[in-house]
Amino acid sequence: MDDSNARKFQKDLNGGLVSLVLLAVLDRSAEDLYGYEIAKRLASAHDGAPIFKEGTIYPVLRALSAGGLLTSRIVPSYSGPPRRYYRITEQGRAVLAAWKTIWQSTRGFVDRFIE
Amino acid sequence: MNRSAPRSIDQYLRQLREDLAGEDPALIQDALYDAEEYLRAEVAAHPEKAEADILEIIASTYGAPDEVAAAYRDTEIKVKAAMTTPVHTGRILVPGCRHVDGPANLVDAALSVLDVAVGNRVLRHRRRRALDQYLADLLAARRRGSATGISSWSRSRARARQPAVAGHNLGAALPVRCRRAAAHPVDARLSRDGAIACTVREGTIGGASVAGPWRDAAGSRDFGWSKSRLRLRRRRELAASSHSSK
Repeated sequence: MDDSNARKFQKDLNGGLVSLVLLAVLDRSAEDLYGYEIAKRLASAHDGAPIFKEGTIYPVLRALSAGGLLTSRIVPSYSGPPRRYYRITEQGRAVLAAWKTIWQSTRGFVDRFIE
Repeated sequence: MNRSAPRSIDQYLRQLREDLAGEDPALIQDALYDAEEYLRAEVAAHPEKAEADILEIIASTYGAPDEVAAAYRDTEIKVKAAMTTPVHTGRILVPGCRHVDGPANLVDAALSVLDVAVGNRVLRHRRRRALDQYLADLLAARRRGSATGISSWSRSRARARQPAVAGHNLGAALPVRCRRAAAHPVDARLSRDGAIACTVREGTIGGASVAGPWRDAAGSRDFGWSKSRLRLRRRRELAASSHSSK
């Protein structure tokens, strides 16, 4: 498989997984997190080439926020523009629980065939 | 497009703006804002490195401007498809519905009233009677334990175009953009004072957008019903019920 096929497959996979991972990160965090912080947490959790570019998480954060799964607040920053801090909502937690079940079920199903 | 990789934050942002040309201005603003936040944080995190050196590796971490632009466009398309173009969030308190219980009923009731609230901002004074009658009907139906027949009112796009609610025609008072508005409840619960508090998402149908002062700093807004009005209404109801029980 050439690189373009691999990239396309990874991109297709990431479609929903980025949302799932972002909700999970914010669910585990005791404090509100801003985009850069989240990006670095994800980067440090994975060795090797990143699964997805850090720039792709920002629009997903905004989409989750628009959907009521996250709330956000803006805090001034010394290093640049004000930072938008995100927090998971109760609805976000409920959605995360449902998505986790779907993901675990899907992963189990796929594993049966490829392992 | 043949162009050199950005060597500074300003160049990066300029290229990102070029790659998003023609998109919704709000999307462009979001993308530029997010990128600047990330890039400046990255530069601040590595004071020992030159900005140009950091920008060199940005393409492999944050993404090149065209990749980031594509991510915003993709997400925008998915959100539009999945959520019927949510553009605003709002919060509505539904008065007189404190006898409604159960999450499904709460959502149903809130959903119905919400549709009225979409137009309520521009409802003429004489039309408020229709809204009050609608709420009274809803409450009476719930007390009887019967289905109101109202709850499915806005669930289909086609029906959401109809400005009449429970037989009370509100449409004449509403501008076209409001008639086309559809509201989607994302959360509904009993608030502390016993009314229904419903967080909603306002969407658009047929490409028409609904403008208005819906979004405040907290991303939510109580519209239509003040707390004092709720208290007054509740006092009247209590007085009426105690009077009828005597």
